[in-house]
Amino acid sequence: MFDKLTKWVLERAPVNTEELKHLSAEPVPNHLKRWWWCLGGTPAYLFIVQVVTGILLAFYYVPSFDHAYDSVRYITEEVPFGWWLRSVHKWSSIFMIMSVVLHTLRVFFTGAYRAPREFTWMTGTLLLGVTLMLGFTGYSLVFEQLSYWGATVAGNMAQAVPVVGELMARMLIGGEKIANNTLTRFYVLHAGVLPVAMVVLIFLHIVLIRVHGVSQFEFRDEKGTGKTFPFYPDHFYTELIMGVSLTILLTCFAIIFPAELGERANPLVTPAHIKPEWYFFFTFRWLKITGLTFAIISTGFFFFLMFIWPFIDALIRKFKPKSEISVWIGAFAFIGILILTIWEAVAEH
Amino acid sequence: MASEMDLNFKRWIIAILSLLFLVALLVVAWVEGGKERVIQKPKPIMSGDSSKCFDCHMQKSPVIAEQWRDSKHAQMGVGCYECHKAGKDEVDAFLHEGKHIKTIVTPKTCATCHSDIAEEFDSSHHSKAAQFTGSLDNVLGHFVEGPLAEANGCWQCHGSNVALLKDDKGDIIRDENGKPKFDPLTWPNTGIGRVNLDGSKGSCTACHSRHVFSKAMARQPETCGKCHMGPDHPQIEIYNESKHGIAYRTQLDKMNLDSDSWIVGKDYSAAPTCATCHMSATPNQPTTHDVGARISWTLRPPVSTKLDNWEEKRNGMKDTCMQCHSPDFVNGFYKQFDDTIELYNTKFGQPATDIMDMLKERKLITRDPFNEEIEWTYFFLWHHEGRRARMGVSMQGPDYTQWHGFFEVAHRFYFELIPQAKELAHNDKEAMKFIEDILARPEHQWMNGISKEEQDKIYKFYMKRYGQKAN
Amino acid sequence: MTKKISRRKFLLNLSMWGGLMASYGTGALYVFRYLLPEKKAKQLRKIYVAPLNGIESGKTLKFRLPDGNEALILRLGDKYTALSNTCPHLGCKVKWRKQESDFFCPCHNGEFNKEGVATAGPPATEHKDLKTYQLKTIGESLFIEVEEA
Repeated sequence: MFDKLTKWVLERAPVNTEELKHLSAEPVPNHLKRWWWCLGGTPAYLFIVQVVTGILLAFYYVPSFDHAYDSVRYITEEVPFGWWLRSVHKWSSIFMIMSVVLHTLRVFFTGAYRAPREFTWMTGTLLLGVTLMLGFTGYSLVFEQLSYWGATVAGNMAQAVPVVGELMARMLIGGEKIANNTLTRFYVLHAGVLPVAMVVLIFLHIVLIRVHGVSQFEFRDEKGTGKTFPFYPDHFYTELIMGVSLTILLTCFAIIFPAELGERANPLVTPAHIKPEWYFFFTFRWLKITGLTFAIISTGFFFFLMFIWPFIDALIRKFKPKSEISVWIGAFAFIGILILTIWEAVAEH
Repeated sequence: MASEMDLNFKRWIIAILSLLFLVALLVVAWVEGGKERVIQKPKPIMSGDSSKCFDCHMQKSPVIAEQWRDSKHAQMGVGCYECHKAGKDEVDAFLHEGKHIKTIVTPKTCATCHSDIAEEFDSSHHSKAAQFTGSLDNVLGHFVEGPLAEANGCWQCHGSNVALLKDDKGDIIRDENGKPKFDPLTWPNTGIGRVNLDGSKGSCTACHSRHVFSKAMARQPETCGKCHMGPDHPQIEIYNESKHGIAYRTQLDKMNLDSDSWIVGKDYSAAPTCATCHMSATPNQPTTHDVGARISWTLRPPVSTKLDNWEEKRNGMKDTCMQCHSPDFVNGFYKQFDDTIELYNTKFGQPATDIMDMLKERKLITRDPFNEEIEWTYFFLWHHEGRRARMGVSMQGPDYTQWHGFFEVAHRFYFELIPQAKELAHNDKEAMKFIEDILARPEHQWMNGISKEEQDKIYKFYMKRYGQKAN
Repeated sequence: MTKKISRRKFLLNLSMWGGLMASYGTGALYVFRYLLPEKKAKQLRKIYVAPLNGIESGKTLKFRLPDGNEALILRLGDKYTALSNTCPHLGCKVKWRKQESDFFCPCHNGEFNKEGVATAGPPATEHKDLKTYQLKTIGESLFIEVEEA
């Protein structure tokens, strides 16, 4: 009876179950047994959380100048469990940014980006960029005072880019000033374009990882064993533990620090202290100490360097093999960003 | 085997974590259950006492209740009882459904919350509008026309002295429910300078009609037009004639009259209303409920004079003008305005007044008002036509300045006042000389005929333009 | 031995998958609740009708509601009942008959008892009763509760 059903299904969906088993049992290197080696999987899980909660929030969110704030208020205050979904979405976004950054750092400092994995790194940096953009557009959609003025500052920043700045700003905010067009643009970016881009990039990223195999990393005590273990169920369980733990953590954060709602956006009143979300603190501080145009260009240049770093690193190592200069540069950049972020966090304005 | 142990360990962990997640979710449900649903509270907000009034008055007087429901007061929880409550000792207090209340809400009540506005208003000319008992207008209303004309005409704008009916012993007459009865001559009345039983002066509802208390209504020129109209002070007609009024009516939908903040150039820029220039805020000055705060001339009396601190007041008005007009434009207008008032003063207002004073002094007429024809003539000249001319120029109504104004003033002066004065003075050489001296002034020389060239010019003009002789 | 192990394994698997299903299932339940449109709690408004002794026992008082409909307030001893006077059959106006102690619709001889339940005529065959309103007594006053517009 059961065999008949299986046969019936397989005739119509001719999947090679053996292949599937084989694929899911893809061997992964032993070092992945260590917990801090799931930082790539964490953002993937969080991304799924974001997609689910995001779709749910979209049921009630209205991307218009007049109703955006009210709809967020409605979700937060009136719809049953709306506050929970919104808080989980918010905290998940913060965790996602943190884990993507940590993942990037881990990959950088372990040199996992080196040939032949340059493309993996590049899709990864793009994913970091998309994550940050998702954070920014999502925050702006709330349309409270700070997010409104954050978007205004972003528009001004885009404007400061030489030559194409004006055009960029107009494209970004969809007109001269933040209005209905801006919100629909941000909404389409946040709920459509960027997630799709993210899915494509994640797909590429994973395909590249699978093609190359996870980069081998050997601890001294395991040297030379070359041990692997199957992805399913071993590593799958690990990721599952990670996922459930994260969900618990997100829910706890949602309970203890639920997403709040500031004052309604008022184009006529500029708040005394404008601050972006914490992950943009470093650009904001950098902007304050170096001036608008320079800050924009240097930040853009920084991300470009990061994007092509595997090739620069290769170039350095060509002339100075065994050099660990990349690590030093990375450390310097990271500490710099950390200092700027903390500075902005503690500074009054 | 070791791997299997490892996996089982993970399975245990997952099972335990699932349980923890479930617990976390139950906490979520608990928070959700305990959450106060902040469903937007239905307006209005009512205190216990007011809701008692409201429940019944919704039935007994639904229009009043509905109007109040639409008001800002309803949203702020200022209800029936908050305003109508009365101290037991107040003369007009009465017991109603267990509470002492009063019918008339006075500026003193409004000042409980709007104290600064009440103070401004109290120092304004508006609050003293009922203190006109000594005026000629009062004589007209009270004696010449009759008390009911006075009560329903004059007092409905100026305000009555609210009074309660009393019996022979001086006790307040009350109805079967103990509610005191008002003297029907003095109430209903929402005149702006009403003298209330609690001693306060004025009536906020004159402009902010109860029970909606709409700001928009007070900002509309129509509100001022209830009183500032007609033959003797046609401000609303002048405004309607002016470019200001035209712009207002054309762009009524852009006036943002309902806005909380109503600063010209910021919250609206379509047109000015009466309130814009005389009361409302500009980016440089706050709103004032003293309507005279920006007025430099008094255009009311027979001869206009500048008011105390007129420069300061004028600067306030100029600031308002300059929200839309250039300084040159504004200064140019004030030059035209000042010179025109001077023209009225020197050519008509002052001479007519001098002649009247002289006639009285020489006992050619009595001191009693309005019992001689020339007194009516003089009254028409300054009180009606003279004001029309002066107010016309003050608010840019050309037709009121000229045809309804100076033209009528001139006719009244040359062909009624002067002939009547001469008639009264025909036996008094000195009086006659006084009049002749006035007429000998250069501005009156046109009476002796205009030059041949001027006549030819007029003749040619009419032939050329209309193909006919001048009439 | 193996049986024991496999039973243990079965129990372990059951608790793991069961736990996952229970917890995520609960989450899904919340999501369902989130998506389920809320029935709007009706805002009621009290309107003053009359003093308690303003209605004679055995008689009705016709009261006009803000929405234009009319209610009949019936007093029987100390019991007050408020019913719509619109017949649920075709909308004629019913009236109270003291003798018969019922509400009667003259259009098609519909009858309702003193609680408004249809007892005869087309409303009874269609099982359509008169709409009832809630009454409230505060002190000596009678109030009717209607839905806020």
